[in-house]
Amino acid sequence: MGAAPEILRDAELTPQETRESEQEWFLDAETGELKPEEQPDGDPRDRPKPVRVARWTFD
Amino acid sequence: MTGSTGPTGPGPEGPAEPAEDRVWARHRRLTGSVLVIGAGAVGGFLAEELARIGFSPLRLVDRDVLETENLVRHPLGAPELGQPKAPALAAAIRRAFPPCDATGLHADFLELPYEQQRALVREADVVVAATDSPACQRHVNALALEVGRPAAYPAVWVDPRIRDAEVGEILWVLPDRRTPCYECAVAFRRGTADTDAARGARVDIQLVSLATAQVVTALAHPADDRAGILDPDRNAIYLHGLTPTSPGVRATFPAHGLSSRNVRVPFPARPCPACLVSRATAPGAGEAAADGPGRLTPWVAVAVLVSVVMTLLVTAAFGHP
Repeated sequence: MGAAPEILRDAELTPQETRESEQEWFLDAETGELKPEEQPDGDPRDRPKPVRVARWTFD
Repeated sequence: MTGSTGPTGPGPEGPAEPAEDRVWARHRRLTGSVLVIGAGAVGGFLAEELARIGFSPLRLVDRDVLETENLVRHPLGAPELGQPKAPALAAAIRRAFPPCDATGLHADFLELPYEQQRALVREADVVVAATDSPACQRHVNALALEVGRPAAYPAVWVDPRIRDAEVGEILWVLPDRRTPCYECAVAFRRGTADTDAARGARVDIQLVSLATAQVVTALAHPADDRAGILDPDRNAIYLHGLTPTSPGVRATFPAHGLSSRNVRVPFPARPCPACLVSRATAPGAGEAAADGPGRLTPWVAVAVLVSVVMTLLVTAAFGHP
């Protein structure tokens, strides 16, 4: 059998990755954008920018 | 459903049909009736998956025939070129998977008689609109609301900023105005789809179809634990496929590859032309607005006013014999 790995890397997320994974979004149907929900403890400056939703879709 | 203990004997038309009790031996069947309007890439793969989950009957409706350009992203193949998609796909499903009662209608759903449209929707436990016609999607939305059926609206994005079919979206709508409807969510989409831009990786489209099948299953079986995938406060699901993330969508999908987001769709500020609900009249809007002991919701105020008026009228009536 092979040797076990000597070092196991931590699987923890960085603070930024945690913020990104916990960020929730809503659809602004007036502007056609996905916008980040306000986070109670979050810094508004850290909030990601809106993402424009595609105007076209196909089946 | 009863099943035989062994396959039926070979008939003159071909191999024996599989025994239904063995078909579902390892995967519990979840059944129900589904209407799929649009048997293109998304609707086509969706119909196949629904058949395998156990849904029956499946009713497919599509106005198009299978063309050469469709082959790269459609479950049908070269033998069906030139055939109407819906009947051909239904026949293929019946051949490959006999437990499914699949039928296909070669028609533009919008051009069917209204009573036939209504009957198709009424027969279904769940309705899926997977067309590239905004007018058809909106019409199905209005009909599903009228008849009172849950509905799902899957699609893939076409946008010059991103890879084709990089992002899929699935809107799902509960009857009785419990969630925002399709019209609430797509107010910003006007005009018709650019069919020249209708490219798309096969793999990512199939992912959207598979996810839609899970949504349909959850809608058809709200008491099943699978229904937990639907967040009642967030009735849109956005999927990012197995493809490098384009900068245009990286904010929503920060990690490369396959991921999904449950997204909140607010009711509109003004009453939606389809479901007629606005933020002010949405379920729970009154509770959310009442933030103090002395504040009345609109309906409570109306009730109080009516009571006062009735009291005055009764008093006046007894005061003047």
